[in-house]
Amino acid sequence: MAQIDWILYLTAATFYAISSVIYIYCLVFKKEKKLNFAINSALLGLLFHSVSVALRWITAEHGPYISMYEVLSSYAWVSVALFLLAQQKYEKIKIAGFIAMPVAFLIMGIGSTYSRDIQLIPASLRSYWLIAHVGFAKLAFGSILVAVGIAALYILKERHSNRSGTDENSFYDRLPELKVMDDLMYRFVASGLLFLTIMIGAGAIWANQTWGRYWGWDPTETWSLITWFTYGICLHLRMNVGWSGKRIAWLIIFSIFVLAFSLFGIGYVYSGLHTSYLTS
Amino acid sequence: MDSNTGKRISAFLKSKKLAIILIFIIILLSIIGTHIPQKSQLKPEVYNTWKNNHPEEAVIFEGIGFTNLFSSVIFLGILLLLFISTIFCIKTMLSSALRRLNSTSQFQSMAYIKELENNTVLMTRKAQNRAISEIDDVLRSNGYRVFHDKNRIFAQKARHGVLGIPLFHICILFIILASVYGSIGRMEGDMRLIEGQLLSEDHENYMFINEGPFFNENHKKFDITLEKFYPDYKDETGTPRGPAGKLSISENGKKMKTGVVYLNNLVDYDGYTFLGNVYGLAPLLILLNQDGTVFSGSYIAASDTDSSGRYTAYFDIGDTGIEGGLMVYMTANLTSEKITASQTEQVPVLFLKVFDRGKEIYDGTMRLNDTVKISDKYLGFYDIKYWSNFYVVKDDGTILVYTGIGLITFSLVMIFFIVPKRVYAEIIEEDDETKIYLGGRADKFRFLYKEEYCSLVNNIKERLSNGTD
Repeated sequence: MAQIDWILYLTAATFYAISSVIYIYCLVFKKEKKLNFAINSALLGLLFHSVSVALRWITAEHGPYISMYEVLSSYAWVSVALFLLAQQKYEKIKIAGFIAMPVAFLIMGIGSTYSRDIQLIPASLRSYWLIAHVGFAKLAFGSILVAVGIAALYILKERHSNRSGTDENSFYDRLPELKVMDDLMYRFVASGLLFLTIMIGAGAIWANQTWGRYWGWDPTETWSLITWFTYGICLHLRMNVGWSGKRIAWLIIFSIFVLAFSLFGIGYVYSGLHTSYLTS
Repeated sequence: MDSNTGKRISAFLKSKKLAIILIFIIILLSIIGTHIPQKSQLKPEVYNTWKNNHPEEAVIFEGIGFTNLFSSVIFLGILLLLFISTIFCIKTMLSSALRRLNSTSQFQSMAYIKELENNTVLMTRKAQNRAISEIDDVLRSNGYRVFHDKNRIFAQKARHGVLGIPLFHICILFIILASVYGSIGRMEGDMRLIEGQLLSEDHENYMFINEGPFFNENHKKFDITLEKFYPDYKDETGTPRGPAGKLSISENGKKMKTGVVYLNNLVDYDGYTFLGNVYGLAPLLILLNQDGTVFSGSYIAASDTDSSGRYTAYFDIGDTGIEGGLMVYMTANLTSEKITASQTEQVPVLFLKVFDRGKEIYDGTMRLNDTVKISDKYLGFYDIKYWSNFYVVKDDGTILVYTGIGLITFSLVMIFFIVPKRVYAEIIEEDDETKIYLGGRADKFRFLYKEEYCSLVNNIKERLSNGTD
């Protein structure tokens, strides 16, 4: 079964790669009609990926949150699933896949470099709060990744509008209006902040059950708070200080590095209570 | 202080930019705090190693309090300023939110409606009253509360969403206050129990104890017994849970609670939480007189481990001058299950060295029920049990912090997903037709609201075009 889930993983990664190439091709050469191929590739990839994750879950007898291979695989899965749902609801932003799909493919690629050996779940990780904690971390990452895709589109569209005015038949002008895209990134970042809050809350309860304190300024905890503050500032600037459009778009793009470091990078820089879980 | 200075201070503290600057400083300090070793997070020996390796940095960082950054004056001062700033902001936010919540009817003229992002002019042959009634119906069926004033309509939904922002900020204050309240009244300590042993929840029965300034030695003094220890516990579903201890808590001889403590499974009683911690073996050594009567004896918790993972301890026997060191291990892995004949028998083995006033008088191995002659007495190894340390925490702020986290999550849902929406209409009867000025807006995601607004307008159009007056 382990071999099958790996083959499915590679198949999914291949479809994500194809989807990424088509997305980038569509963006560069303004071939909107080809976007359906990209979406279908992403869908096919997601299908294989879902079966791979499910098989791994059954074989390992625990969810995808113990080894880095499982963790990264599930992050990619949630990101692709959330993006496909988002583009289903807001059809005009489907080109935002030119960010979401390459990132998902990159995550799959990094995941494939880690050991695929099944690790037994340590007693300290047998908690429903852990499932909520990691589940919402993945949702937060997925939401914010979609926001980053829209932010990048916003910047491209704005640059195009400033340079060549508007033309109803142009690729960029068939994207949603700038104001709508501004609202969309705002909404996805807001969802991300909500998921981050639940992630931190569930983590605090889990920490209290395991270590007897809900907060201990461990580097992972501190960075999760830094990330929460970063997105808090982002929304505060948007809501109360009048920042919108390009400035917020750049801030959203920059902020995902803080989030990515907080989720994936901590284990390689700091030692702490979480880090053994985050590097193996 | 004159009123102008007061206003300036108030304006400074209410400033939205101040909050951002303070949060930014907290972020910077937090990053610094994750890079500089923090005393509170490291074992003393690890911290001291860093200090010895970086003496110059250590002097500087200790001097400015950065080795205890998260409880340093600078960090707490910034937090306090943010706290005060939040209080000032809440006052303004709350009054504005309540004002908007209570103003139920905001009828607007067509001039105002025409300025909205979403506005439409509809014409119908229906009479003014009939048109008002149709619009009212559509708005209500879309979840709006509708109000009329002559020929004007005002409708709104999700109006309670305006409370989201003040609630969010109140929750932040609540969480900070709850954690401060919890930490100043907090008690944490390690209690060591040998299987079957009963200890009272009292200051002197903790091996290590840390009491917050407001805890006031407020120990409940109930009795705790370690009924049984399981080195490899499996729960009722057969899931391996690692080491676990079955604790019972009694008051005045009456058993009040029994529970098994293992990782992620605590026992709570009267505000106290018991968590599993380290464990080991405790052999029973009894010193007998030559006539077989007991001179002295006790279980000795072998709490240190040597490089091979065997438990070791040092002991002395009263004022006899006899002291010694022991090392104990089991001939099979520690297990809670009965050893079957096919498995290695689980037998405790004791390596013992005994000294009488510094002179070695015994060095040998003992098995269960062995006795050896020590001076004019006999030392017997008669039993072995597990001991376990329990980490005991009393933090009355925890439940408040959890409540705060729950409320803050709810407030974020209110802010971003219960968005107040308003629709305004003015209906004017002109000659043989009725003109409807319709407009709508949402407090947030205004341009995304357009889709919902267009669907509303289409519904109204459909209703107005159906039938005749």
